[in-house]
Amino acid sequence: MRVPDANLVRRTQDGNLDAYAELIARHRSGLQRYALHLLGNREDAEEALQDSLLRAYRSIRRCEHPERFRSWLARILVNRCRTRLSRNGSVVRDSERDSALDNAAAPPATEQAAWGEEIQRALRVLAPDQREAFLLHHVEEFSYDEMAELTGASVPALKMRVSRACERLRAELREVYHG
Amino acid sequence: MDEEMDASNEALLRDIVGSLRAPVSVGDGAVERAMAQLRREALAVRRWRQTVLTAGIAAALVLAFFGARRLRHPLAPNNGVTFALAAPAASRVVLIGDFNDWNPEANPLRRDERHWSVTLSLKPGRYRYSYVVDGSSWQADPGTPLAEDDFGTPTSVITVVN
Repeated sequence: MRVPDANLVRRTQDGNLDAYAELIARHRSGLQRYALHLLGNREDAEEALQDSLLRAYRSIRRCEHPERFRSWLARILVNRCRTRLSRNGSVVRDSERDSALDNAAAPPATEQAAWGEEIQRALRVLAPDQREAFLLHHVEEFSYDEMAELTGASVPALKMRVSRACERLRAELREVYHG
Repeated sequence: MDEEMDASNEALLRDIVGSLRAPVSVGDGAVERAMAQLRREALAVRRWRQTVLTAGIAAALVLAFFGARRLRHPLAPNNGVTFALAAPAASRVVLIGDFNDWNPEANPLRRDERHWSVTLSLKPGRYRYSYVVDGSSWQADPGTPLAEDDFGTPTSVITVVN
């Protein structure tokens, strides 16, 4: 039977590093995906992720709602990614992105690879706050209430960002879409 | 027509999201590096605790041996009370307390091999006191009870009798 996150968080708060390793194993794929798609290059994504995991462990006693660990951890990553964006600007290094993106679920056929690249290009067109809201809601499947808690923005503002992001992505990709 | 457009838009969005949800391998190294660093830190903390514990036990044994022989408090006669502290690494130790108005200049201790001591003639009564090591570190006397202290500093208490 799977141990609930909350139990693992409490064990981590007591200094059990193995419990923390288990928590990270559960949530790492979403964190990795979010960091890469938001920042758009391997180096920044790796640094933001590593920094977030260290910060999360060191401040785990401040996780007041262990049952909402996933949101709490995502909030740390969102903030680290914002810091990196503000430091580097929102310009994505294309050459790095091309080699960084690795669709492990299905080895890309040429057409699929091209479609993936088009999506990345379209993501880069979005304003960072729209990209952030779109990825959190549609890709990582956070509710708007959770997003409000972890981004500090209001629910209406987040809905607007997601809606605009969807419109812009459709506009950018409609002509190359062959679905 | 509008319905066709809506359906087409929905299909497009589904494809975008489906593509973005695919796992990525970027970040594997970051996760491993973070966990390795945390394990190193945890190991260092365990070793530090062990060292502090060992040093504490050793200090307690030394004090139990020398302190029992040399100190005559907490219930001490008034014909001379010797205050002593084992502080081999210290360069200056002073005694402060109710008997000298907590004046750090009044009663410096003298070094005697590894120990510091000073003998005072005190009137009968109850006194709170502490040692100041190297001008900044307050230490309670390990051989006497701790006193209540409003400021959270380590303070001991002694009662002098006739």
